Amino acid sequence: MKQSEVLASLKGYISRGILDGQDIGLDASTPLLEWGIINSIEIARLVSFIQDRFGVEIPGEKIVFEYFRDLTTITSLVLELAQADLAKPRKA
Amino acid sequence: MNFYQTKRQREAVLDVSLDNKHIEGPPQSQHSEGEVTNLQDLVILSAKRTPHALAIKGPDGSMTYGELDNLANRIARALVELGVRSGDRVGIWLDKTVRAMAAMQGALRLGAAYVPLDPLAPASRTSTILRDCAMRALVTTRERAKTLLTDDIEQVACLYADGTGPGLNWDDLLSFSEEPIEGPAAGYDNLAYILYTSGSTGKPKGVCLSHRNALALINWAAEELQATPADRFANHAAFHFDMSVLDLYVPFQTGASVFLIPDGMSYVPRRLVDFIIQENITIWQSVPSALILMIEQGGLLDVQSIPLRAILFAGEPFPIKHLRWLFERWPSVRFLNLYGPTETNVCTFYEVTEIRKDRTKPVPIGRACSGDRVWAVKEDGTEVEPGEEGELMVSGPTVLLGYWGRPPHGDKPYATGDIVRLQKDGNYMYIGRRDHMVKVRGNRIELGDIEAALEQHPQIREVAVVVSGSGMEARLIAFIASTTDEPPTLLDIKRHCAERLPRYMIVDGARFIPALPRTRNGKVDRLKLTQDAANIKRQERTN
Repeated sequence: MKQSEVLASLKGYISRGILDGQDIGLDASTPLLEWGIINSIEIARLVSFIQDRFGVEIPGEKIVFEYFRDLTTITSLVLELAQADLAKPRKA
Repeated sequence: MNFYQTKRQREAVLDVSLDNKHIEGPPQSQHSEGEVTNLQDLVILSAKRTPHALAIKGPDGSMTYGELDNLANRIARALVELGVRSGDRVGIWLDKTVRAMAAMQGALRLGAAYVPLDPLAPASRTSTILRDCAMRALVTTRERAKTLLTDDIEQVACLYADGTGPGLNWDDLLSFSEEPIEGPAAGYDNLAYILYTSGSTGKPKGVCLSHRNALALINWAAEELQATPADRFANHAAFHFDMSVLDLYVPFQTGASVFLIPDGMSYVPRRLVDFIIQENITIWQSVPSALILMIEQGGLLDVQSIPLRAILFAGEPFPIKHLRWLFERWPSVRFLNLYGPTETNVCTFYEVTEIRKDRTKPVPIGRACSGDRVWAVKEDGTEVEPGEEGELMVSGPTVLLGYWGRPPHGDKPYATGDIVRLQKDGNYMYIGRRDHMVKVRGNRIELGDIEAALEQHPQIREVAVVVSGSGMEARLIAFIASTTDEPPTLLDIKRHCAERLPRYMIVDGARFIPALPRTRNGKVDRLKLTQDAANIKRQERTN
């Protein structure tokens, strides 16, 4: 999973799913929570989008605001969790 | 320390209207001997009775009453070193954590009031509030403090809840004594906390609540719920919302435990249902939206058994379909509908004892509680008879002291702006708002406040905000006529809102039109705009 791909996919989701395509100015460091682009309800939807799209389940203790501040932090979270998943022994 | 004296002197240049004297008022003693008359004693007394009982569990750990009591004393002493005195305001700008709650207790022990701030609010809004109530100290993280303007940070002393470095850090708390603080305790009618809501022209409005205000609600709820030390309360609402007062202080009064739901998790349905089961939650309070999600996507009706004995809901009408499902699935659980604006906290309640098959309307908001009296008045000023509608009025111990910086509210009743119908059985039924106020996702929103804030944008000539959709799908849509050929972007508009309004008032979408449609008598045609907003949404779905 590439950083740029995850970022582009998350940006696409936010642009289409939340901003109705009005995404001028949306970049990796746009403060998503502070500007009300995502709220607690949108975080819940985003969590299930990430699960569907990347097969990554975000554990409860990671569903805190610091990981959802902007596209960069969400991307890092997804990559970090995907890495951890890979490191786990596969079930037979 | 000289440093803090200088800071006190500098306060003179802060552009605020200090109105402490107005709001404090003389302490009155209309309570019986031995009765608890302030919020800090709830924890202190529980710590004396059961020091080893679990008081609170949050994302940053758990604490027994004994530990919490000691920590609150250390925090209080740290705040004294920062210059906080009785009657001062202490801001808490932290995620929902045990530390944030302990900081509130610390402030109260000095006779100071705390001001819980939205952990996600941008620095500009926090700074407006900080100036508005002339905060003496702020408990926050180093990172958040950095975002404040130099001007602001020079006016307010910080206790950092994280990290190390210059200034007073959480680790430094250990150097302060955990012994109880001596000194005059805050009285019944002193300011305990300020909850900021929106205000017209984007200026935040601080709702000032006393110890008496909060205790009236806490004592009523503890008795109505017959709370015991074995109870385990969930706290779903954020600390800067009035609903959290019940979740935190009813357990403290009882010696029970409270379990904090991290803000980010508050609408992740599966996690919420797991939380109830894993933490063995007995009392749950939230907005209906969270419960609806838990029913539809979290399997709340499908789990085998549930530790809950009471579900409290407040903030918006609970659609009867979902409430009926819950009620029929969990017959041993009590269901209570609580009602009240921030200005009065819970002033009426209704316990659901049956839901008839043919019922289509939400359940009533019920009758007065928390020692309050409620009634409804018609347009002609007379009180309604059964079957009639009018505006709900509240008087009694939960009615606010006033708004910060304005004259005290006094003994007069509080007019809620909510239209209700008095039923023959004595219960009130919520009908709607008398003004342009709307409810979106459980929050009271005055659309005019959003419009006033947006009109300050240099590229906006005129603007009207409407609500599109309802329940979880409700969205705030701004129709904007711009002053320039190049209108502002949606993100510009959101940032503009975020700097001036509470987060729940940031518009979700924007449409740019040459001019606002008007009715024949010249008023903005809100009906047409509302229809347009609904149509646009439909088109987007079908595309």
